Amino acid sequence: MNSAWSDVPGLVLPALGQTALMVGIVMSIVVLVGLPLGVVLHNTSPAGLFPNRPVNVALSWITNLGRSLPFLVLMAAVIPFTRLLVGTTLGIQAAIVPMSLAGIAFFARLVENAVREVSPGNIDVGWVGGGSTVQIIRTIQLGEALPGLIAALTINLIAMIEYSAIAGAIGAGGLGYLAINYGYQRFDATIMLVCVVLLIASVQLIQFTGDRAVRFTSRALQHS
Amino acid sequence: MIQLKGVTKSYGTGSAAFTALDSVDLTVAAGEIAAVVGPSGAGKSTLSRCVNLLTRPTSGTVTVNGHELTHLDRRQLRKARQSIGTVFQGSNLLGRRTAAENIALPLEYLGVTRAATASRVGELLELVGLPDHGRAYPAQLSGGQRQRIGIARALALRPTVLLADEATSGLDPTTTDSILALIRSILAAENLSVILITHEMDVVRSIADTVANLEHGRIVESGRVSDLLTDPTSRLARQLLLPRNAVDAPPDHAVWEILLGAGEVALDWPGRLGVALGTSVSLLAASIESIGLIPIGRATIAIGPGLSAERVERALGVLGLHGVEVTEKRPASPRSCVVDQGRYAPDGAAMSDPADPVSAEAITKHLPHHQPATSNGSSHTPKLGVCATTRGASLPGELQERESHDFSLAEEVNR
Repeated sequence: MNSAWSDVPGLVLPALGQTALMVGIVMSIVVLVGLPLGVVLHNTSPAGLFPNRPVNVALSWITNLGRSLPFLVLMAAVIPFTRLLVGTTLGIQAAIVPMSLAGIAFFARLVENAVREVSPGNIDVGWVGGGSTVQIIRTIQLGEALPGLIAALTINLIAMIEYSAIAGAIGAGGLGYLAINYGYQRFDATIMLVCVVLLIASVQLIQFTGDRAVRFTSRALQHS
Repeated sequence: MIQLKGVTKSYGTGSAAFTALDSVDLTVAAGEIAAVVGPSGAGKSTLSRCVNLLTRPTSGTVTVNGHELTHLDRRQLRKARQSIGTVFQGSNLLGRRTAAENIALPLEYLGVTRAATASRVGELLELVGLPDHGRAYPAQLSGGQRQRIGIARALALRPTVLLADEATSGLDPTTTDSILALIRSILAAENLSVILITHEMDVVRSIADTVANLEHGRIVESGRVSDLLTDPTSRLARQLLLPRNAVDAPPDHAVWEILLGAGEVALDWPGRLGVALGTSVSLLAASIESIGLIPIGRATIAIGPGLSAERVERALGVLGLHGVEVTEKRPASPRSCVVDQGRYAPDGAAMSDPADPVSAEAITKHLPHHQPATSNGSSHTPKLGVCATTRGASLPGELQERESHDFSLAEEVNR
């Protein structure tokens, strides 16, 4: 039973808003926790600024936990933790917990990779210039890796939209919820089509914007 | 002034221990340039990292203007590093910062105000001759310009010691000269002590006051450049005066390598030698120049057959010359292959520009009948692009088991 086109905005727009809200909150948490985690992951490694094997192994192990389960399984597995943290296992609040866990682990690895690409020679420049560890992280590791960090953010953002759709399937709201409940269970091809188009469009837009930002921040690196 | 005393750096423990630096002593007075040379893998890089304390020496002391830097804690070390400006090979500029922002980095770390930073950066850009390049990104600058910015950055905090680690390697001869001239002029203006780590003997001859030869982590020879060059027994002098490719000697002639510089030498010595020996003396290769008003140089000559080595030596001695007979056996039938500049591991044979003269000599020894394919149009640095034999290039057995990245440049080429 297809919805009338006139009903579509009333259904889709709030769902789009919910998706944006969910992804927005999750991304804030992901950057806030994942960025420092990635930086520490790299810098406790032998090539880092403050190598520390036990810490590195422990953090790496924890990060791998968040990366090893398929998101659907992770979501189900952490339900007790979710209930403990936000008091419910339904809706946007509940979706944010597993999404953040998976997102943080993913982003930390992407950040670690980006920071690792900064040349050791540039780090030496920081040391001989009298920089402190924090100054070197800020000006050299993050400063020089900025294009890579933006690319990481783009990839992570798109992954979170995908996760939000999966979370939607278990009642978290958003475009995923709409597509499953209307498009799939009620055979509403119109809603399905609109949801699919919106998801594709948002991913394309994010990737395009991200690529432009990467190019803009690395323009200094190209010969003119 | 900077003073290194008994600086030792070892890695690993027990039977796996490796001593990269072994009791290195080095003193550089203010206003003086000390060069440290040595073959690839001798410990030059380790020494440079011990001087600016990027690596902490296992034992020994590094003293700058009476302050000992070696046993400081992290915070004090940060402060101490501010008195040592480092110029890196390839400049190591931050690619996402403009030239001015790169120079400002140490000032930023120190917390200097924006206005003071801007004026100091302007001053430094002026000093290194690039007043209009502050807004340029490193990728927009030439190698020589990047190195100038690197020097400006090293000077930002008014250090008392300038450490140049292969600062001119990979630059063309003209650019190298201009960078050296810049270092000279800064030295005079700021009364710095300069430590120049290099493999380029021409750099040493043209700028250094003293030179130390590092081999297997030890300083095997050191002294004032002018003294060494006039010492016929000096190994460093032989390296400083690069051997030229000699013309083939006439048949049956004995080939002698002559060093000038022991003292007063008549400039028409080849003729006089011929008269003294009663035979023909042919000049096969020579480079002679005036250093401190004394003719200094190196020559390869061919002496007519039938004379004992003792007699030749006596005749040379009378003329104030020092010589050794060269007997050279060339392996037969070389196979040819092209050796490129730069390393191409894992399949081995390659030639690198930053090969020091000793390595370069070692490499060319394996390359009989070598013909330079490219020479960069200059005799300034031994840039070796050669047609090489793949036979005869041998390494000691234990080295053959090593991974390619463990090889120094010269070893890699010889494989």
